[in-house]
Amino acid sequence: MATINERQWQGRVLQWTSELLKNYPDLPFSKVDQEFEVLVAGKTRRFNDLTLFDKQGKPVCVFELKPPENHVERVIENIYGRTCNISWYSYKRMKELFSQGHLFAWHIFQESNKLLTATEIDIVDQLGIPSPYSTAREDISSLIAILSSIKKELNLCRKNAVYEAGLIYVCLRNISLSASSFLSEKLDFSRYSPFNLPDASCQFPLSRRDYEILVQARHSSMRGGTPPKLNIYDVLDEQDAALKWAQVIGNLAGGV
Amino acid sequence: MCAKLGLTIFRKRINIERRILRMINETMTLSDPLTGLTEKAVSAWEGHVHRHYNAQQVGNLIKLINEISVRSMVNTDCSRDVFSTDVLRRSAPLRTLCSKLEEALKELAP
Repeated sequence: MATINERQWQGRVLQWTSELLKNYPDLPFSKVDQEFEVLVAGKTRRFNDLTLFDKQGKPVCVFELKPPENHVERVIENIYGRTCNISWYSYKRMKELFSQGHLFAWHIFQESNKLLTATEIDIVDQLGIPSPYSTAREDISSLIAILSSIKKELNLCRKNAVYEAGLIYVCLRNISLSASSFLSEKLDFSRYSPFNLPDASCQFPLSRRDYEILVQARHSSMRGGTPPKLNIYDVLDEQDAALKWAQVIGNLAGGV
Repeated sequence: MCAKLGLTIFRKRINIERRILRMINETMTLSDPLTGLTEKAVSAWEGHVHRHYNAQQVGNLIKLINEISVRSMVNTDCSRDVFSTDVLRRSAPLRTLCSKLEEALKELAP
């Protein structure tokens, strides 16, 4: 059976829909277009696969064409032998992220694995190198704000300790990822990035063991894994140490 | 979408999750609190709930938490231009769902 990729499939559906509109002029649509930019709530940019326009040229209906998730899950599970979570990004959205130098674009560029056969066109190859990542200072500042809020939240509800401990991990990992853009040779997306920063002034204050507990907490919040047994005072101490470390990084980033 | 907006959405999601988790964990007298609002976290927690409450008492509550989980994910997921068939369904806004959750929790309060 001949294979067809998502973009070829989209092209065919576009052509077929255009023919339908031509053959049935009484339908309340004037045209169909692909990857048309639509603003949602006046700000969020969406590039849906197909958009239908009314007779006045206003976009009134959008389509997304995707293979069933369970099919994609099966393909990935067969290759990697483990379960996966799937997020969908359109080509235009990816193009936008690459042109912004977004960390996600850099993650895809540096660390993605292809699932396609050698003869199929890979969009990551087409997108090339992302623009330089330039928002480290702002990103670190936002993450420090989240990290700072944890103490208050723990005092408000101690039963949320696992959730908040998981957030400490997310903040630490992402702060060091951002910091690796100016302290390391390349962006460090690894789980242990806080331990890898080369600058002696920002030596990571937590032990591997304590850090692993924070990772376990996050996995419990996101993947339903077994939650770690936590002592609230340990979590508060870790938040305090993490915040001091993050502020040093923030100063290295140019002050936050 | 700029990187800054991505983190703003992340903070929005954290605020929603904290609020819902606080409502649930403060009211329910369980030794194992709910640790997250993803489908997997809720499903893992469901077992503990059923050991302490009967199915009739918490059936509606679990349904509401799952609905809130889906709704908050759709509201804040940066990647999802797409609504898969299980998400594309009539659902009340988050505020309405939170009010319903508050009501359901009142019935469980000791």
